[in-house]
Amino acid sequence: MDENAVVTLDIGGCTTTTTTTAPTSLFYHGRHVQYIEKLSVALNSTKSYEGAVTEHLRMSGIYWTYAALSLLVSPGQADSILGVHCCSRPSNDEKTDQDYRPSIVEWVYRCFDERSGGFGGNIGHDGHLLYTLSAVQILAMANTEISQEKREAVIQFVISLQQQDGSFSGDQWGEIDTRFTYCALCTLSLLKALDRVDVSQAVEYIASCQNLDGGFGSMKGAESHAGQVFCCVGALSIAKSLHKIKHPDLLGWWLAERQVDSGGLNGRPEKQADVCYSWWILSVMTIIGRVDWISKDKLASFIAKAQDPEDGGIADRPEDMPDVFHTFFGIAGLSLLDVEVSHIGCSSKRQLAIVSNGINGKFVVADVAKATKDCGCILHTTSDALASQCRAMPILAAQVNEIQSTEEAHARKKEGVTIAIGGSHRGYTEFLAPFTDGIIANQFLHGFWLFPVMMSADLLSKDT
Amino acid sequence: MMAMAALNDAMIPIEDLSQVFSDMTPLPQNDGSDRVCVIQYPTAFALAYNYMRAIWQSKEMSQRALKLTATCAKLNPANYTVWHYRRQCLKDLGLASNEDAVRQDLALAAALGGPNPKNYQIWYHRRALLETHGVKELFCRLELDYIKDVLREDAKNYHAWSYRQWILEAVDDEELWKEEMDFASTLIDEDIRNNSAWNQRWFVVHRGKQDGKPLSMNEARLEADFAIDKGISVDPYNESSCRYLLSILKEQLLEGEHDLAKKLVEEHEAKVSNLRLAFEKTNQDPGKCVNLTATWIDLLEMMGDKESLQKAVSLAKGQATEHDRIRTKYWLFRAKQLQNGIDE
Repeated sequence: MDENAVVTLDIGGCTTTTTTTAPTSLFYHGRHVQYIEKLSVALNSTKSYEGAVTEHLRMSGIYWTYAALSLLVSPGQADSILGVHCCSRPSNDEKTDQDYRPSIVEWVYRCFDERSGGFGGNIGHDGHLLYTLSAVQILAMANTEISQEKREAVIQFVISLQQQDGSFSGDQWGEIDTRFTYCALCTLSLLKALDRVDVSQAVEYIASCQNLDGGFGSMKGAESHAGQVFCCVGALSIAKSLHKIKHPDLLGWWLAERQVDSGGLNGRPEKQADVCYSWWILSVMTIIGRVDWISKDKLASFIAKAQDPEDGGIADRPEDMPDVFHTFFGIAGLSLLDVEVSHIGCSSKRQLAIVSNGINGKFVVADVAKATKDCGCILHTTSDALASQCRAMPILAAQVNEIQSTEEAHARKKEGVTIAIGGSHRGYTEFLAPFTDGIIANQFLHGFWLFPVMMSADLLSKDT
Repeated sequence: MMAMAALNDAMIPIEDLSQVFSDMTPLPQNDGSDRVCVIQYPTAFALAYNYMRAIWQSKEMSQRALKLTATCAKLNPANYTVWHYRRQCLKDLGLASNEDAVRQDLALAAALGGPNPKNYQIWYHRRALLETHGVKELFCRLELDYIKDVLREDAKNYHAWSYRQWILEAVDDEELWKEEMDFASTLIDEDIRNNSAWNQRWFVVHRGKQDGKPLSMNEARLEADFAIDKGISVDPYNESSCRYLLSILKEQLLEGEHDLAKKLVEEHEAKVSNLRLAFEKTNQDPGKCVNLTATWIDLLEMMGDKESLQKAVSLAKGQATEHDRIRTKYWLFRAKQLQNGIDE
């Protein structure tokens, strides 16, 4: 990946009133990849103080790192940069700390806490829902099958944390927060075990946390907060219970009001805008189909201004120091703004093969259309359903082709076909990795399987 | 606040660690590599945590283990496993239900948290101690005072407010509710934009109960008037007071007596309408106050008659095209929604 790779964000003309010298419409793709790579090495160093004080949440740190990188480069490249499956390092005479590191997957398993059945933030830590979710998400992104035994242990851990009123505690100590309901349901849905807890009771609890301003808090009575709104709406979405939102328009309005003059979003009334809310809020607005209620251009511009154009990374707001947390959420937010963050430059190719099994058919169509809007592509897909939907769109002619072998992938590449991963790419990633040009940004999210965004059945009908 | 001496007593000084734990081998953070680690001269941080890991492995529950958790919590207050182990030690040593020990631990957590703690572990430690011991009158007061100190530093600290709500609900004492009402009012006076204080007011006036029972009409009127007199009239640009007013009225419409609720709405629609006139009297365009217009639109919708709805449609279109263009599509939707209300 060329460190100087820069992609122009196609966010339309927007006027800004700030006087920052950094161009507002450039996305420093290459720099962000560099930033992430450098940071992940630095934190693992035994000499890093920052690494030491954040070691207890390393599981989440790795998740943000891996997820951010996966939005920027192909799965194969992300794997190799981070050492997801194997830690292959060029051999040299002097071994460094890095050379001894296990693969990320191996390390994740080492964080499993036998006593509780959950995953801890690092090796030796107690199991906790937050890190259990991050662990399961990492394994899902890495396309790794979790063992039956561990899977069952994790399920039992989650079950044990549900309270009588349907809420979840974070661990056996008993702290209750709607964040934990999201962690519980998302973990179980990724493990395809949602039915193992009392989902309807969990839903009732979340529904009871909706405030009259339309938002949700950490508990009943708590102030509405965008992060908590994400957790609650995400949980409802996973549980196919979005209808439980009593006042969806009011919620949309409350969220839209988070946009301040700079274009950024805040988390509560009268607080400062912060890039991470781009994700918390945008994802909710996407789920409830009201993402047009904010100015996408101004938000994209705000996020773009929070980039560090020299060293890469994204900060909480313009002029501040970047960190991996805000880098991930900033990029994820941009991906929901129809901004092409993958490096698929389809304009020079006539054919785009998107390997998708079509589970997320409706959502894939919208994003394929956006990604290929100017290049008159022929879409190759593995899914009949997706193909027929695409045929209905004016710009695409869909062919149902399944890339079954590396030979075929190779042949397609030779023909000039751009190959992208979309939708649930399990099973295709491995053999397609060497041929993959990238990921349709939004579609990556569906590699999380049953990620809340895809559950919104009326998503496309709002897309007018 | 815990005196320095008391804080020091609760911890083991770094320079004493090797001596106090001379019988143990410090363990570096396992990074999964299982290599033979050459122990470089460790920093204070590494040394404390290396002994902590040795203790965790040995499962020793003792005074020295307890003190070590304090040392480690000071170095990294967000390390949740340290706090867990501390509570396990307290339990094992029979200190969890000991009033003095609990008081000391609360003071320790306060000392370690600093003036404006924003870490979940430190706040949860307080709650865990009191859930075990019970939020007696003594602790209730101490805690409410402590939270007040924190809120003085940051009146919007989300953790502080959640914890405060838990204390009030757990104790559920009428005197305390009344005091809390005053406290919320004071905070609103000091900073009308403090959304947390408005949220607290709602919480208190409902006595913390979320069981869907609305306020009585008298209470609702008092609250609606407060929102106007102490909120919107003072600063019409502030979102919080507007949302508060609308929530109070909405609750009455949804759960209270409908006719009385309608009357309350009419009274306050008139007040908001007057506030907009006040803008015009000083030669300002009331449309510039997007908030006030949005609130008026909601009130006109609650009124429900054709004329009000038509007015609301026109105002919504004004927001879309002129005054609140960052949310144009929302306002166009709103105008359509209101128009549908007329057509039905």
